Amino acid sequence: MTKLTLDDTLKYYQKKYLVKKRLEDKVTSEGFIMVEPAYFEDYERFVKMNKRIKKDSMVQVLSNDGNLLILRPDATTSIIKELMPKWRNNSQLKVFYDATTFTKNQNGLIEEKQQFGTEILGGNIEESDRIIFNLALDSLKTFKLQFIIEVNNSKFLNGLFKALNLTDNDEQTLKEIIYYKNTFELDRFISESSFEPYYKDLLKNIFTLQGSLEEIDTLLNKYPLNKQMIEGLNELTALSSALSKEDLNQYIRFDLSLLSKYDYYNGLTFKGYIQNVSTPILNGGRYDPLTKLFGLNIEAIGFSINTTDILKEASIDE
Amino acid sequence: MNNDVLTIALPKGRLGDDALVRFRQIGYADFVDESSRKLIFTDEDKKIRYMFVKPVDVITYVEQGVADIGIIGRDTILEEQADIYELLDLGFGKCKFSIAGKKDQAIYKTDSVLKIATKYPKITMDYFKKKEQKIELIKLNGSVELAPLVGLSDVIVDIVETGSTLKANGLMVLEDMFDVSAKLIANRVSYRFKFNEIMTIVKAFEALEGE
Repeated sequence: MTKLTLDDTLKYYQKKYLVKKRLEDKVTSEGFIMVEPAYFEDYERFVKMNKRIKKDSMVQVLSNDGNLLILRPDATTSIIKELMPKWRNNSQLKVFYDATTFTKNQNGLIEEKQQFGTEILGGNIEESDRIIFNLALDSLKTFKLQFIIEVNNSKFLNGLFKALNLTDNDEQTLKEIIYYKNTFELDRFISESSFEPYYKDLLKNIFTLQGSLEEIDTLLNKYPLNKQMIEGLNELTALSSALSKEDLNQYIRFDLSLLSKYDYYNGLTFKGYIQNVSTPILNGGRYDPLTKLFGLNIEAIGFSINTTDILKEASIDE
Repeated sequence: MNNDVLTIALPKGRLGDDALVRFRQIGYADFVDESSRKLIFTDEDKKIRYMFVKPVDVITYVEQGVADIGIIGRDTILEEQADIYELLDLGFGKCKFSIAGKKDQAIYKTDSVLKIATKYPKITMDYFKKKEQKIELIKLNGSVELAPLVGLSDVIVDIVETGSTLKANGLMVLEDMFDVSAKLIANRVSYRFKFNEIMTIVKAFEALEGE
């Protein structure tokens, strides 16, 4: 019988260490400080912060005083929860973490994933958007994998939802439709609505608003956009102008219908994919509203990389 | 995920046969011999691979990225709740999700629990949760129509196409829940890496619909 040898096991851990170290070296050289997110989250609070998350995807635990907790499904919520109560005005924090996250898959089995991530709290939006995005891009590049990053700014969709004057219920329905790129349900949603004709048309074409920013701009020309939508587009233009032509062509696809499972994003959002891995390898975005739950309004942006999947696909030269 | 070839998962059975008819109408899959026992056909020229799998497994193959796109009924999508893109309604395989039972059977009973037999526990649970009717689910794997006849359940939740099976067993549709039809689904990662290949097929199907 063939069995995994001790050598194989050690080799795996060595590779895992190198992946982590490579990312750590990169972020520490940029002045990021390591933090350790808490393992447990209050269930009620987490659900309140993440309205659209599937409740059965969380690993629930009962504390001995009878409170329902969950094992952290992400690290950002924990970090914000720890740092916000101690916040000093006008400070800027650059932190990173390497944490295991826990979710349940459809069959109810617990999935552990190792996530490496960074956050910038406070400071100039345009600058931190750029730093975080470049760091994410650079991090993926170091593993020499073929990857694509989808980029959006949630101000565009949020602006559109506002213009459409949707009820909470309709907004959730529409978000669900857009998340699944479900053209059929979208058509039905539009036909049952009483939106202005140009908004109906814009919504109908929402899934075509992707590719390069130039392509998107051409498509958007004929629509009247509100302030929030324009702000979103401007932020994307600012980010794009800080990137090289090669990077834009090779790795970046803008997609105005990109929507996260999490509701708290309010600016730049992005997702990275590599071939052979069926879930995003990289998730990131601006999530200022999360700090509002702590009575603050701090600029906050970050990304996380799923290093478990990187480990499977990347070959690491020592 | 094979990087050069676009892999399409098709359900074995009638839905898959209907899908093949459509694929042939847009100039694809002409060499696929669905009567053979082969499960995989590769079109070297167009760089497309067709896989025949059990209908419920289409979702799994696509979600896992082994297949880039697939064709499957909306019923299965709703039941499996997979993280995929639902790109297109294909306009065939149309049928209804319905609640059926004996003629005088009441569905909404404030005072008691409704017993339901079904192959679709998730869809049934979600539906009755919205309706705020307490239910007891009995998961069956086939011949659901038998359940109300032998007293296993009060009603059934199932897909109804013509209603002839119901009629033959003395049952009738008590309430229509929603329509289902065949959908073109895509893996989220494939959608990015093979965007052009996938959209070529989507547009061809759309053009077919428009005719």
